[in-house]
Amino acid sequence: MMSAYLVLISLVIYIVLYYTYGKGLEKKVVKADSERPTPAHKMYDGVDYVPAHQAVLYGHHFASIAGAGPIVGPAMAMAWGWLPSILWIWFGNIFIGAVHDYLALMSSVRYDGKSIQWIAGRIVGKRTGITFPVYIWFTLVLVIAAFTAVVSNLFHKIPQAATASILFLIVAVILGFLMYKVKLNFYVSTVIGIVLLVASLFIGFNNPLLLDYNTWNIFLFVYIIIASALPVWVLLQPRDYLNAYILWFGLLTAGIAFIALAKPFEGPAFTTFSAVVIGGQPSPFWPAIPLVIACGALSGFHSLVGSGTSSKQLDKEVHGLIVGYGGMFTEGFLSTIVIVSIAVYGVTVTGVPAVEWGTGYAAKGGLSAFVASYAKGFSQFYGYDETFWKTFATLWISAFALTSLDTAARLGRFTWQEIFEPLYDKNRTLHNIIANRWVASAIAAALGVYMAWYGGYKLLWPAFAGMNQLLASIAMITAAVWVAKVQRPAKVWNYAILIPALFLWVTVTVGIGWYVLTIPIKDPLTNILVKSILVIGLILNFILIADFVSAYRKPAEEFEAAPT
Amino acid sequence: MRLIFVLGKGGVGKTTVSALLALRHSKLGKTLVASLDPAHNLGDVFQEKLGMKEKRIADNLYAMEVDLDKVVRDYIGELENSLKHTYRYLTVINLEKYFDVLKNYPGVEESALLEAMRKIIKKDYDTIIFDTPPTGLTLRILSLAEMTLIWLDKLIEIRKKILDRRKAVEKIQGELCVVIDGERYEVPSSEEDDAVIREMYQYRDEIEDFIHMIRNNSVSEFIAVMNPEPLSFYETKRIIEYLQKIDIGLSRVIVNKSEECDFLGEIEREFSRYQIFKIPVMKNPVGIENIRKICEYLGDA
Amino acid sequence: MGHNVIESVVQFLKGFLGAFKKGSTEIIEFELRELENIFTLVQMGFFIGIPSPPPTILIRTMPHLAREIFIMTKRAVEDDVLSEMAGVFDI
Repeated sequence: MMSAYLVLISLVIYIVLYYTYGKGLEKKVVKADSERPTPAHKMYDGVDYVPAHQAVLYGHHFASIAGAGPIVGPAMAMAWGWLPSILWIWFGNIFIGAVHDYLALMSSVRYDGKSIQWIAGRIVGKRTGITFPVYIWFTLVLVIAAFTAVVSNLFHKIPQAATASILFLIVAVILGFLMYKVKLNFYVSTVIGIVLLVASLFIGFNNPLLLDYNTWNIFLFVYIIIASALPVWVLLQPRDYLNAYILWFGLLTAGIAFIALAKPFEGPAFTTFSAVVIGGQPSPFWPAIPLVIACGALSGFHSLVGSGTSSKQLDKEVHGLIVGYGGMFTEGFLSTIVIVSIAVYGVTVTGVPAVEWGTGYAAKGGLSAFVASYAKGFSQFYGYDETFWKTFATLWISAFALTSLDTAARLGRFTWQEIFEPLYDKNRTLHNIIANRWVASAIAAALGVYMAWYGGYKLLWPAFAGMNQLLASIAMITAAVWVAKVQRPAKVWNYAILIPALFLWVTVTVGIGWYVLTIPIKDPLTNILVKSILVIGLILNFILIADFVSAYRKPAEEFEAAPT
Repeated sequence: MRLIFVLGKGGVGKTTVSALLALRHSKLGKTLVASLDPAHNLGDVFQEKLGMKEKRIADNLYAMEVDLDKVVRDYIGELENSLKHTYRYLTVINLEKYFDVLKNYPGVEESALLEAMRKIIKKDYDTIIFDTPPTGLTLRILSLAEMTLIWLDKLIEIRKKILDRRKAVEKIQGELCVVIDGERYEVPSSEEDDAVIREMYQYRDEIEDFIHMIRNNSVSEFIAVMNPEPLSFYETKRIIEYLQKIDIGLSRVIVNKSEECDFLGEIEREFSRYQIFKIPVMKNPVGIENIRKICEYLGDA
Repeated sequence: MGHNVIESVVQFLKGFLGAFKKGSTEIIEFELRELENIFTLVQMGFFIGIPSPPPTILIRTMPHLAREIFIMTKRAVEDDVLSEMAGVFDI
């Protein structure tokens, strides 16, 4: 019964809190006004400031923020037991994560679609605005490291999915060719793409490709270099498009399955406060939880998505709640499914009895536990082979992870220098652009893959998550200042934003500090790389709080509500 | 149509030689001698006041002096007008103050002169003789044509990619447009509709024609004028080298103000591949009648 | 009342499916803006003193570069590529 209860309870909680707390935020904090023209109208230009239907924006926003994140984190967090994990996903999401997403979106709307980074520079302090690009640069390598580790691990454990994923790459290329080059009818191409996708699943299911973890590391290294150099229409765009279908299918079918199955939980509700989670070490739930469950509860990257595209396309201010707040809730729902599935089947698939989870889960459990549990549930409810569903679940995770790897490598190249350095050398002018491309991604990829080689995702994921939460910290603090000084709601609402923001800041700081000091990393170079990136993150965090305090002290009159 | 480019260091007598050649060719057909040399000696040689409009000097013989400064100023003016026309879009770039400075930007002089040369070449003459600007500038103008082609090819490539992406997006999302300051502008997605790529193709053709013309021996002739002394000698060697780099062959070397000396032997050895003509020092190489006399030294140029 | 609910659900679903369509070209549109930016920047690089094609090309193309110049100036002012890209990230 538990699985049904928990899924339904999560839905109820989300819906109720959406209409109470969420609406409260909308009316009292953001003071959303459906008459006030949004940037999509004020600055309409037919290019990126174009109003979109709220459901379109919701679906699009959610697809943009969803990734492998909301799955990996909770799968690891189960070592603490399902209860603390789910409570963090629910309440961390409701009071911190979704608030973060919503406020990042709406503040951006108020500032003419400017990004949260720009707003931070304006209202918290110039330094804080500058820390963003610095932060991103260092996080890139961790993104590559963590996701390479995740995918290599999955491909090694579930070789059918490896085949299916490789086939999926080919399917994406075919779709890209049909849709963007041949310019075949949109719906026809879509159908072809989905049919081929399903075919890859079946073919992969019957033809596993067994390679070891490190071999996959190398494969992914090559993949990153090549994929990120290809024109976007070839692989990245078509795969990104198909990923959206996988996402919604996987999520909705799982919701239905686990409600209808109504299974009891085998996994323990609560193991111990310092269960073994990260790096084989006892990890105190506080402050380590955000380093594990990042995206399902709170993710800094979302603030960029919200203020990057969504804010520029919001038709009416009142649509913001479903897009920003609702979108994040949906992600929370996804993480809930992850927890529920492992709670139901975790003991069976890992072989670790419930009493030993606190120490034993970390080694045996994690992503593979989720994949196996998900598959078991589907097999029991929808029928067909468990391994087939494992293939599907793994394909889902790796499809998103591969996209993240691709785009992380690309980001490193979108800098001015890249464009102009080669043009400076007039003789070999434009040929050099290619040369630079390879070199730039090769470095980031090499560092990332090297860390994955020795690191393993259970070590690297928390490091990446730490940086992610740091970004969330910056956004949340910026939102807190915006609310306190510009919006100026009733005191209680002020605190509703401020307290989570500060709580987050403290947790992240202590959490990263704990990681740096406690977690041993065997390979010395990896140790130095990972820890120095985190230390840099910590330094940024301290700069942030200093700027925050001085911004908070300033009287409200000094804050402009709109860009000059 | 024949084109003759007279190159050489300043002071060697380029202008005189250009005038000579012009006189000779005027016997064969309608001839224009255009001076791009900022020193503006052509008018002095013909004892006529010359300007941007071709002036009839004698039967079938016309001359003009190109005012380099004016050409550059006009060129920048065209650029300025282009910008003003699209000024509405440029909310950030505030360029008016900089137009004065732009004249001196590297590359502007060459570009302006290349266009001026092309314009002159379009005129209806049997022969056009260019009294070229100082060697460095001339050589830069000539290689600019080549560079322009390379840039255009790259730009066309990028443009094609842009059009291709636009088409792909349009197929799925519908027609693209852009709205600036409330005004709607069409966004072309195919080569037929795209004025930009058409302009680039056209310009490319024009430049390519120009390059073919100057490389074509039966159309263009490159002549180096020198004096029998070391600096001029080395300059001429460099001119030959540089022209070779851009696939242009020198036709002849004219040694002006030549006197019997050992150096002449050196010159004849070094430039044995080319036709060498010698013109002795003249007392008064000014005025059409005097010029006619010197013509004999050119043999059957 | 019931009709209204159904109406809004239908609208929501329609819009929702539209999200897929929208996402199908998002990355390409981003790349398109980058290309347009470079295309224009290279021609106008002359004004900021970087090696660029002869301004003659620009003189001839400029009257037709409305969208391109608009995008280029926006890029120059905002430099917010980061957040635009983040929408593409799926992290």
